[in-house]
Amino acid sequence: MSGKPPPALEVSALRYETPGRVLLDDVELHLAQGESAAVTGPSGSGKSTLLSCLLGLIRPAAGRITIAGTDIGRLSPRRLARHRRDTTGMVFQFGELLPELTPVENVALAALLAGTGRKDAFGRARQLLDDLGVPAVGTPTADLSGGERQRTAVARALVNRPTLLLADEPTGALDERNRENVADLLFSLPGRWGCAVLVVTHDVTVAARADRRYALSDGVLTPAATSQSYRAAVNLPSGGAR
Amino acid sequence: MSRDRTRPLTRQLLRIGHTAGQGATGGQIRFVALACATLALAVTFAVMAATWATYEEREARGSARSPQLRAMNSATGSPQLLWKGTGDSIGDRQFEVVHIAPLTTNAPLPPGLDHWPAPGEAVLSPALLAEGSGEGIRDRYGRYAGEIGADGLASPGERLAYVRPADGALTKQNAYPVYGFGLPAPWALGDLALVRPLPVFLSLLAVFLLLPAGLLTVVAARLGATGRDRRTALLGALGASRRQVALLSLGEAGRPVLLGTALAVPLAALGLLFDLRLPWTGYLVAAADLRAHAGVLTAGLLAAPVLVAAAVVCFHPPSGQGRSTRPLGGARSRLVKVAAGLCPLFLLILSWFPATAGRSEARTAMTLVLMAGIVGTLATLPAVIALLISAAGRAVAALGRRRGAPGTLLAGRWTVGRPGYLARLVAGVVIAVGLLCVVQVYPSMSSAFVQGAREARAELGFSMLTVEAHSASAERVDQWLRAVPPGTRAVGYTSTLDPVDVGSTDSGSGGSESGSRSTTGTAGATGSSSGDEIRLNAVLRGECPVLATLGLPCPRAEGASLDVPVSSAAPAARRLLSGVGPAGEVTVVRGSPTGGEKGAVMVLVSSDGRDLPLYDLKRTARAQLGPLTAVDPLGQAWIGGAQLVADQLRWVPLLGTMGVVLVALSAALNNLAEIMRFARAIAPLSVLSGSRRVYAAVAAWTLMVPLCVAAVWGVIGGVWITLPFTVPPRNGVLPGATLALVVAVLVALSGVLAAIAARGAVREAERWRPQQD
Repeated sequence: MSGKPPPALEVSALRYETPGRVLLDDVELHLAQGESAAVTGPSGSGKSTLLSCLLGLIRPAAGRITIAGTDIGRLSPRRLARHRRDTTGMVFQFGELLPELTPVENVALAALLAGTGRKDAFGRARQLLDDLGVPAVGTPTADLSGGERQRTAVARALVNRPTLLLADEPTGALDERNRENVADLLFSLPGRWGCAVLVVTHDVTVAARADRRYALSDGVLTPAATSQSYRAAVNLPSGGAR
Repeated sequence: MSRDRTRPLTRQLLRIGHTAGQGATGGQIRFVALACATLALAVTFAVMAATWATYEEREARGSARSPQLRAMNSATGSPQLLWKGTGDSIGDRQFEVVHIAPLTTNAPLPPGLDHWPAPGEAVLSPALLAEGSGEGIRDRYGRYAGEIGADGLASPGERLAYVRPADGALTKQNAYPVYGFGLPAPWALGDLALVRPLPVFLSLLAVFLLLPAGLLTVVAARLGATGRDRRTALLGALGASRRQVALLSLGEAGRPVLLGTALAVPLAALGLLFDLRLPWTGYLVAAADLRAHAGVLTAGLLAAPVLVAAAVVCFHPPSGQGRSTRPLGGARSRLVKVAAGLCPLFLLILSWFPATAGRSEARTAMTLVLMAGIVGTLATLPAVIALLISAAGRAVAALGRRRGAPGTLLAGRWTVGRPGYLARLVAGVVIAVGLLCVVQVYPSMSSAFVQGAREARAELGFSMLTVEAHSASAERVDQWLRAVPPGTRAVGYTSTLDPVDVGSTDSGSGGSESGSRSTTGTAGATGSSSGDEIRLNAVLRGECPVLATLGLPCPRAEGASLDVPVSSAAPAARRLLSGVGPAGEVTVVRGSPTGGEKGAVMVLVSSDGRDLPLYDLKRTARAQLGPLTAVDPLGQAWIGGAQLVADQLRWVPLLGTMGVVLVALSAALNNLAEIMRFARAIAPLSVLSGSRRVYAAVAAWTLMVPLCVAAVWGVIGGVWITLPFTVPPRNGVLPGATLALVVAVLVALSGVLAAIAARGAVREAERWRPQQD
């Protein structure tokens, strides 16, 4: 048997349509573990639909989505939920944290919901928040800064050790300094934790940090300029965050 | 032309409204709420219409059977029959026995009778026959001659007897000469004497059903209004007219409102088709009465959807509320704390009241203090409960964290920051249960006479009976007494109430023989007085054996009398003489119970303390001493009166429980929106983690537990605020069974609501999608 791990994400010939409209058309996407990619596109281009398909929340009309070697289209709803829990993490634009909980509880909650034992869940949560520089206790979640909140959200997405991390406009609600920090953090994750990262964003400077960049327009996903040439175009240092 | 264009637009707007309602956040909960509100209103209006119909028909039949004491209309100038109503009891329930005797060959019959019973025959209502079967009711008034027809009964469950005594037993001296039947206004006869007036009953329905149903309607109309308000504002900006906006709202509410109405229709149909016996009260509602006013009933049913639709169109809450998932802060939380701080003050007022009220002369001021204590307690207790639950939230969160239970952790943390939500959630239940306790206990307060009568019944059973045979001669009485079962002894009893000079009441103690005295008229008079106190003077007249049974000394000579302290008599006699008081005296006369005079009032005493054969004695006394003779256990009048009040009050727990359920439903639905917002906040997390159970835990902790705690604390608060009514001298009783029923219903309801909330939250989660596009 080969020791090579399966690709984190493999999308082939993906098509999704609503009556009278094709939202995703023949989408192809490949992402190995330890790699990052960014998808940019204007509003209504189908970015959120693509994320919903990757999460298995909507069923495509055609095509195949494989995450960590498993074709999610063949899974029953129960097994799909379990597979999603075990392989996929997600970071949202507004963090979607619960202000009532402390940062460590917010992170540990995701692990607890996934069935992790109490000690493990809180231990991992504390470790991740330490690594990401967020005060785990003492400061209520509601009092965290925007950047700290988004880093907490990243920690929560990582707590179940996902193979694939999806990020939906993760810097959309942040000021410039925090945006840079969070973008750097996200694109450093493949190197630090070995997962694949797929970021959906409007922001070309954020997208430029990815290993590969795609543009989604009218449901068609096309490779955009290579990272190197794009970095040069937007005056980013070569090699990005990695 | 324009109409052609309007029609499709109207349909279109209704359809868009319907679709918007289906897609709206919490749409299912609003659907349930609107359906429940329409059902509650429809049932309430139907019940009110049915009440009105029942009163109308009952009074119409009551009027038709009321005796005419004067010649009316074209009636002949001479009386046609003799008529006399008296009372009797089955168990402790009183009912009417009407004695009738024709004076002419074509004397009119009362409604419900198709022929004149023969002398010595009785016609009974079906309910009396059924309920009195164990007490020999069939033969009590003579030979049984059939049942009274429905048109002769005020209501199907009425207990009533028409008796034609033996010829000559009714006379113009002991009965009314009557010209016929039918009066514009009914006599208070039979059930008409037992029911409260229509306005009183409708007020009860208004308080316990209409108000809560109205509250539920307002809550349902406003539920999830944030999204609708935004839509309304948007449509307004796009130039939509008020009518068009209203059509959208109606389209959204149409189906649940129709469903609620449709659910009420079978209930109303049941009432129209069958006589229904109501739970708890046992009242039998006549289907024929409702059919006679089916139009009013239908109008009541149809008014409900119209009102709910109007509420949906008209109620627009202030916009911008409740969009935050952040804990409520500042002012609201402070208000809850201030209210909670005031609660002990009101509790103290209530616990201090009974001791003080007995001494206080300033009754009005004390009543105001009492009211302030009750209202203040009910208003502030929810705040205390909310703070307690909120404080318990910390422990719940700690428990969740210790056990690694995410739902418990979430619910605990969420509860800590929301005392305002909790206060709103529990307030309705606490206030409703508290008020129910007050209305339960207030009318149950009984006088010392009823208390004494109940104690006497418990102690004596049927071993001491009173006999009133006002028209029987002494010979007939003596003859009857000779035939009573062995061990039955009789003593004549006469009592008078006389004013007493407070300064000269001490007439000495101990027995003092003073020759014979009359046992009629003003026996035992203590002389004239200018004082305002009165004293009961009692004279007992009997032979030595019965006086011995009563623990009383027997005067030496026939006809001689003794004044004996009541305190020296046997316990049974002390019960009989309780009105005289333990420090008073009774005059004992040796002789026959009747004293040889007509119109005996006697007491039958069992020589061995065992029960006397009450029902046999009732029957034989009527047969031999005259149809108007009454034989009853000691204190029956007090107990019967109290039973009547108790029967009337059985409506309160029935209606009160329904009201409390509606209030609790309103409170819970009103707060479901809050829970749904929380559910939406955790939706992304639960979708990614594949966990749905967390919603059940959250719903249980945030909805079910507070409602259950509120139900239990509502009862505790209710017991506390009724404290001034349940201690002597008021002696009110708080029925434990009713309170247990209310708590059980609320616990069940809170479980159902938590299940609905959890299901709604799971559906919300299932609909969640990343939406940044």
